[in-house]
Amino acid sequence: MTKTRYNTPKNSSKYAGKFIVFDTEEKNPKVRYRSPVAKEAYDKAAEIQNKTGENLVVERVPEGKNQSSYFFTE
Amino acid sequence: MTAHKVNYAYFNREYGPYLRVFFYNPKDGKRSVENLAILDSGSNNIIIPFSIGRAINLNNPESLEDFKRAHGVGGAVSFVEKPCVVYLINEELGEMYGFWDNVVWEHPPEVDFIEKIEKIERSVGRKKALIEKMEKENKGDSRLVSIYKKAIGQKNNKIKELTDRFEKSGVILGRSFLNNFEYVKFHQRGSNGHFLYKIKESKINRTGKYPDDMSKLTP
Repeated sequence: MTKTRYNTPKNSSKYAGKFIVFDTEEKNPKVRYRSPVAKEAYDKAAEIQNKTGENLVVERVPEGKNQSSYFFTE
Repeated sequence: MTAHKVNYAYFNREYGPYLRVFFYNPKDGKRSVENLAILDSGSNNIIIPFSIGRAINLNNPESLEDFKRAHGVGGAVSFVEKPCVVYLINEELGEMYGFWDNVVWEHPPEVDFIEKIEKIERSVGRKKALIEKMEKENKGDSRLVSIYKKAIGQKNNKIKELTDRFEKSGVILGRSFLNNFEYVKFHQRGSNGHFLYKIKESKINRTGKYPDDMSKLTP
């Protein structure tokens, strides 16, 4: 069996509503970049990846606690 | 295919079952950046926010009839359904597995919405280029630069205002994605949790080495 643990920034709640870029493999991941605009965060993550080869993830920090689920209606 | 154990990730003061994924559009050869996506058995489908669908060049909706509406916590949101490849990453084995699926792409009910956003982005780009030019000429402290910076902030707020409702859910892997597994078992005790999954080999559409093969795909 293989095992994975994803690490996320401890202080992410102060970036509520923003897109943050970080490395889940770092022990205490630092927020490398933050932006209210998704495209800026994606471009920055791609730029860092091209420069250093690190694979970073981009997440939007929710304002509340729960992410919402959507159900199909036609 | 062996079983894989994933600890719940602690994100924004809450534990949840997250998987590392990215999306790929074989038609355009474009991939998205990586995301931590939440596994949600309460959702019917795979849901991707507006920005991810746009990043992989999913075809623009052609008419208003393409749009559907979904209701969930926090109100209704409009979307279009599009096929693409969802790649699941297994860092430990250094592999990634692609599954074909229809994704629910959150999209405002306007056919020319992307053009509207691009117009604002072009304006931001022009101002950024001007600031860069002025900073090179040592005019970075001038009043004009601060006016441009303020204008960029306003334009970015406008983009956020227009798109944020279609970004809030993040990436959700619903039940259609769970069909790619032999099983998924959730274990939670207090604030600690983990889940086990085993992939159904017959569902894998494409595979690759991670991160080597991933970096060959165009972001």
